Amino acid sequence: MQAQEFIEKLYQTSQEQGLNQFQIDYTQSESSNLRVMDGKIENRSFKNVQHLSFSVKEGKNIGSIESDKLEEEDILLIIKEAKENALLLDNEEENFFFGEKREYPIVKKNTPIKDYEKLDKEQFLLSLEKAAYAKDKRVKKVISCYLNEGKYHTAIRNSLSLNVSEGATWAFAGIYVSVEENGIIKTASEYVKFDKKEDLNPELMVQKAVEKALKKLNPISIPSGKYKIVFENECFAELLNVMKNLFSAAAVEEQHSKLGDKLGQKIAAACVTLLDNPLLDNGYRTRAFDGEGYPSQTNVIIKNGVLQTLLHNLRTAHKFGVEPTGNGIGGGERGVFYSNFYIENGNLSQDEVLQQTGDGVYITDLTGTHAGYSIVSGDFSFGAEGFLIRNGKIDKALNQLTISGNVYELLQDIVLIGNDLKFAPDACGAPCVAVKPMQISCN
Amino acid sequence: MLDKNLVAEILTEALSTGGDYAEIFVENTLANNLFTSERKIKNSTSDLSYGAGIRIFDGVNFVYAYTNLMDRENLLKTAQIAAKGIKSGQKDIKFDLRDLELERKHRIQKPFESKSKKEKADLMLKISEYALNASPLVCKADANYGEKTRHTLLANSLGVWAEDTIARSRFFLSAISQKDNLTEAAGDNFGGLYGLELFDGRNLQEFAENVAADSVSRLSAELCPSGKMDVVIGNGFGGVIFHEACGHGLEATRVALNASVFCGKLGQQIASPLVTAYDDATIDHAWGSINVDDEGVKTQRKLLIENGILKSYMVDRLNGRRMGMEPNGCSRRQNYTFAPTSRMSNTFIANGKSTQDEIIANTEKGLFAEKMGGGSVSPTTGEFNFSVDRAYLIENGKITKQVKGAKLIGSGQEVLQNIDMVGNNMSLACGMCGSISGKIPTTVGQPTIRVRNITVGGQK
Repeated sequence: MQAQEFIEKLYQTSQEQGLNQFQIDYTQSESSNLRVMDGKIENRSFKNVQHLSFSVKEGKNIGSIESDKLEEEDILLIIKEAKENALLLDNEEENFFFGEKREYPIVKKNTPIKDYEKLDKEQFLLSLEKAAYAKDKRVKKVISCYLNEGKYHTAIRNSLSLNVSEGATWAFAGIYVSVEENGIIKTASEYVKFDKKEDLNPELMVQKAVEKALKKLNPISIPSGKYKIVFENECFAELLNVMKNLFSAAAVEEQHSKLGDKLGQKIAAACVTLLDNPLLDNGYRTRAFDGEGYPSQTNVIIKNGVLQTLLHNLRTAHKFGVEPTGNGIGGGERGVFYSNFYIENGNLSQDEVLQQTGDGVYITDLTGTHAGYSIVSGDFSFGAEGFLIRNGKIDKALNQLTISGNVYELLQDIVLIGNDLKFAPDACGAPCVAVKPMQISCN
Repeated sequence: MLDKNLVAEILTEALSTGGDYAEIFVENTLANNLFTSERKIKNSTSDLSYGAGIRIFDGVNFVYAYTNLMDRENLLKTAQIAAKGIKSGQKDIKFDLRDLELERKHRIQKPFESKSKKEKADLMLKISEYALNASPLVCKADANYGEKTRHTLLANSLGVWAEDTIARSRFFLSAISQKDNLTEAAGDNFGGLYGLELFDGRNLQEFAENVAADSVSRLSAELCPSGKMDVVIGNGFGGVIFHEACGHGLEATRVALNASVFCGKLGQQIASPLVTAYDDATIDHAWGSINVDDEGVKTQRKLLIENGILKSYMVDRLNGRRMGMEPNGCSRRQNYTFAPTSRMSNTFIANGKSTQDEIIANTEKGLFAEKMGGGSVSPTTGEFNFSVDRAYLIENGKITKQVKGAKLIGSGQEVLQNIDMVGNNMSLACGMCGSISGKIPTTVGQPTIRVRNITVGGQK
């Protein structure tokens, strides 16, 4: 059965069954993945899948069923399961569907450039791998060399007359290399999303990846202690990814964030402005509405260091007595989620940030960010890679590092912000950031 | 689920560019889960899944494509897209799809739909209540119940047409106890290829009270000492060490890529002569059992190790080609979004001759790791570390006091050689095993065994 026909039938049957409030979330996605190893296409995979969540509100509760089976014979089963799930739950707070008539913003999504269509993808990957081995004799192994492209379409329709849909296409390629010198092995990766002409040039991607890895060779050790820190842009974006949950109203409820009573208070250095912006042009998570169908809006979370808002879905907004912020997850999950989440650019170039820092440590990579963070206290201890900063310039590579601190203190301790904002594929972004001395230990 | 003629067309399409083998796997699943906590029904979820995966081989290269748009046009298109990945010139492969005759074991007695979710949740709340009432120190009891019915079809260009239905259910209970500033949790579960008869013939009150007692007793456990000692590992879930540190190394997934310490060791002594071990997917109603594997090969009882000598690996079709071996019915996947590969089912060390009492009485000084917890193993070196959930010190052949925080550290090869007593109380325990073809239900098992000289990491 075709998806449109199925959704129509499910909608009608739900009405006939006398369901009071219900919602259908539908997503269809296609993608293909190519991998090259040792001069050959090692593996290809393709997918073309659809997924439906059907949710029913009974009393205060919303119950759901997840299904990727869209067959007429299952419509009654889908309705029965979702309704039974809703009736079973004992939660005290009310859940909502969105149904107000609202204008939806027009957004500009990230898409591959026109020239990408003409690209011979197999050839691109083969030459990417070849270029990496040819780049420098210290390149030990191209660990991974891949290209993924696809598209998705998502739609939400409910009994409160909400009916919205949108979609996107994407393509990205990446390479992950290791280099070896004097028995020391270092790795680095680079990726492109084909949204500018230079992304079609494999040489350029290889150059960046290999240079990044080579710079890490011949590391030196420094005594453990407190050092002024400059985080590379993408590296601070990774830290933001770790701490983003602090700003979720759902995390405040679960006592996983201490920011619940800090609205209007200074929680970060005055130079910090933090946004969640689903309307950002060409962003990884640019969208016109959230998972609950609520229109997207730009949320300034921190302005000049002061906490302006938490991020809400329909349920938490009602509970906290505020307007929703358009950060809901739909389907059966009904949580709070992020879009393009980033620190706004400052005025200084990366060179100026380094110069004004003088001496310290430049951090480029973090490891173990999932395990080394306490959501209760905000304390963290991560593995890291980095370089010495001497006389305002990046100097020698450093042996394996650990960096420890506390996310609440870190926000307050930011001293300089660069103007080189960069996003990671998880849609967190930051410019380079200099902070007051932090605890570093070096192997 | 799909018409035979359509399936034949799909396979023919898949072979059109030179593949020498093609298969289609179709899956239709309904799963339900319930969660109760704080005397309330906190969550109830349902998941309906229907999709197909098409795999084509060209020698040892392969392509995998999957979809859940199950109309004729799209299925043929998916086969075409997959076939485009192979360019070695069409071979003349003819096949005739014939039903694979299967002994369909594990039939259920009480279908899942014979009780409402409310009735099931009420039973969960009742079992939780037994735990809450067992001791004033128990402050929380959480229960989880999951049920799943999986219909599968595997058809391939060797002419295999294998359809099967498996129903699985599992129940978990955990209890949290508090005293002064200490909090300790304990849990247990049971499951298998059962309908609602899963709960029949069990003393549920005793089960819940044991979980409660386990969490309470941990409140007064002392810190475990560190050092090398003889360790008696309890039966049932104790087999997790064998599963992780040895079982994975016997999967063709690793052996074919020369990434296992057991490569090239067939016929060699890899364990103490007391060790005989099987992977047996045919055990009635066991959690890890299946009738036919996910590439259409009937399952077997495989002797892995006999009196310490390595007898066989677990071999799937693709890696079998790499190793020059026949597949032996162990290829599995979480669902249609994964290509299958060799995996374990019910993997266990067989019974020996000693009783558990004899094993403990013969141990002058050591640790009794009665209930194992989680752990990890490095696939390349075989080194593992596991935590012990419930452990006791053994002094002069007697269990003296409960200890906590124990970790066992070592390597799989070493432990296998150092097993010097094997009990006669083999039992199986449910688990979920994660690997490249996703998470699948497996059981681990063993009788009580003694291993000489393991490094125990404690906090003292």
